[in-house]
Amino acid sequence: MKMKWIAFLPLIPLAIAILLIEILTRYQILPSYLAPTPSEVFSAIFVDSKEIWTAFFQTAKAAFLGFLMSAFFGILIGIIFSSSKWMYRAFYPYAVFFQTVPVIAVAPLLVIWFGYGTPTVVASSFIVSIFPMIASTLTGMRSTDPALVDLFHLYKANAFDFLFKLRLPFCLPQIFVGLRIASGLAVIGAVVGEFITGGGLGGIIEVAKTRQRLDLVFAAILMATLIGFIFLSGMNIFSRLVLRNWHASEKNI
Amino acid sequence: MKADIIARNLSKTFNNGLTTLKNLNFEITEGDFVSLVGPSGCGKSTLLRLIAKLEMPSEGSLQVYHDQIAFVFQDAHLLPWRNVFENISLPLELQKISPAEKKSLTEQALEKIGLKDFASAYPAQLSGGMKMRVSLARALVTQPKLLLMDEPFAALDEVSRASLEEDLRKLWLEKKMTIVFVTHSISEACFLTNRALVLSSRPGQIVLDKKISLPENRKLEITLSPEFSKTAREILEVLSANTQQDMAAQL
Repeated sequence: MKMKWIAFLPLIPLAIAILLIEILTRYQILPSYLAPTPSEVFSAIFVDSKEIWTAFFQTAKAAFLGFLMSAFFGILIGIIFSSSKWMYRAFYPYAVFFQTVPVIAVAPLLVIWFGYGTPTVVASSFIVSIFPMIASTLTGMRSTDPALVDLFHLYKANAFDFLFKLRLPFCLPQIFVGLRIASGLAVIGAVVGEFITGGGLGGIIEVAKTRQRLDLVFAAILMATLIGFIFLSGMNIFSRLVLRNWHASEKNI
Repeated sequence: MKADIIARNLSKTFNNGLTTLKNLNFEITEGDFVSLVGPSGCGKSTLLRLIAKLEMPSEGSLQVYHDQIAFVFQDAHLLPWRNVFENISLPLELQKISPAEKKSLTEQALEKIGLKDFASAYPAQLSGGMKMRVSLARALVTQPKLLLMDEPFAALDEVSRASLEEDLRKLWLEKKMTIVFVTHSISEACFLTNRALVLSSRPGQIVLDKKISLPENRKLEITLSPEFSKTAREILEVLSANTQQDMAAQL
C-alpha cells in the first residue's frame, strides 16, 4: 500500500512548478513572448485538441515503426557481429556511422530518397536509434558465461541451441538496456525528421514557431515527451515481465 | 580392470607460451574415484579440461574411452532463466532425448539429489549449497560413465560441503562411475576418493600417486582416524616439498 503513495510523489513538485510558472507568466514577470502560461498550453492540448492529437498519433506511429525496425535489425546485426569476427571487423566501422552521423544533416537527403512523408520520418527515427541496439546486443552476446559455453560444447549442442538456449537469453538484460535507450531516441529521431518533412508533432513545432504560437510549441513538446514516456514505460513493464524470475536488475524495485 | 583414461607423455603449453602440464604419465581404471591434488595454478583444471576434450594436448597423447562425460564446475553455473527442473533436464534437451524419457530421467535425478520439493524454484531463490546440488543433478542426469569435477565444493560453507561430500561418496558406491575430482584440499581428497594424484607447482608433474586405503563406506568420523591422518600427512609432505622447491627456484 505504501508503494502506491510513493508512486505519486513526483506529482507534488510538478504541481508546484506549474503553479509558479502560471503566476510568473500570467503577471508578465516572465514576458509572454518567452513562455506561454501553463493554462494556455493545456488549453492548446485539450481545446484545440484535434490537430495536436492527430499529430501525436502520427509521430507515435512513425517513432514506433522506427523503433521496431532498429530493435529487429539492431539485435540481428549484434548477433551477426558477435558470431563472426570477420563480419565484425569488416562492418562495425559502418555501424558506428549511425552513431556519429548528425541526423539533422542527413535529413534533407532522406527527403530526396523517401519523399515528404512517413517513410522519411521512420528512416530518421531508425538511424538515430539503431546503434544502441547493436552495441548492447554485442556486449550481451560477448558476456556469455564461458563455463556454460563449455557445458554446451560438452553435450554437443547445435548452433541453434547455442543461440536460443544460451547466448540470446544470456544477453536479454543487455538487450533491454538497449531497448530503453532506443525507445527514447526513436522519438527524437522522428521529431527531427518531421522538422524537415512537416507533419506530426515536429511539423507543428516548425509551423507554430514561425507564427509565435508558443502555447502550441509547448503543447507539442509535452506530447512528444509523453510518447517517449509511454515507450519507456512499455519497455520497463516488458522487461520486468521477462526478467522478474531471474535477473537482479528486476528484483525488489 | 579396464583402463578408462590413459595419458602418455602428456604436456600442455598454451599459445602464450605458458606450460601448465609437463610429461604426465598415468592411467585411470574404470570405476575408480581419483582426486587431482595440487597447489593453485598447477594445471589441475587444465588436465580436467583436456580429459573433457575442451582443450587439446600439445604433446603426447591422452586417450579417454568414454563419450558419456559430465562436468561439474567450481561454481554451479546454472541458467538463471530456467527453474531447477529445466536446468537439470538441459543436457537431455541438448542431446535431443525424447520428452517422456527426459521427464523420467530428470525426476530420478531430482529425487536422488534431494531436490524434489524445489523443482519449480529459480536459481536466484536457492542457497549456494542447493545450487551446487542442482549442478550435480544436472551432471548426473545423463547417467555419465565419467564424471569430471573441478573443485566443486570449494566455495561452500563447511556444513553444505560435508553433506554434499557424503552424498557424492554414496552415489559413487551405488553407480561406480569413474570420477576425477580436482581439489586443493588434502582432507577432501582423502575423505572422498580412492586414489590421489598429487601434482607439483607449474609446470605440473605427478609427484605422488597414492592409493587411499580407507574403508569403502565412509562416515565423517573417519577423518579423525590415525589411518586418515597418516595418508593426509604423506600427501601434505610431498605437496609442500614440491611447492617450496618451486618457490625457492623463483627467488
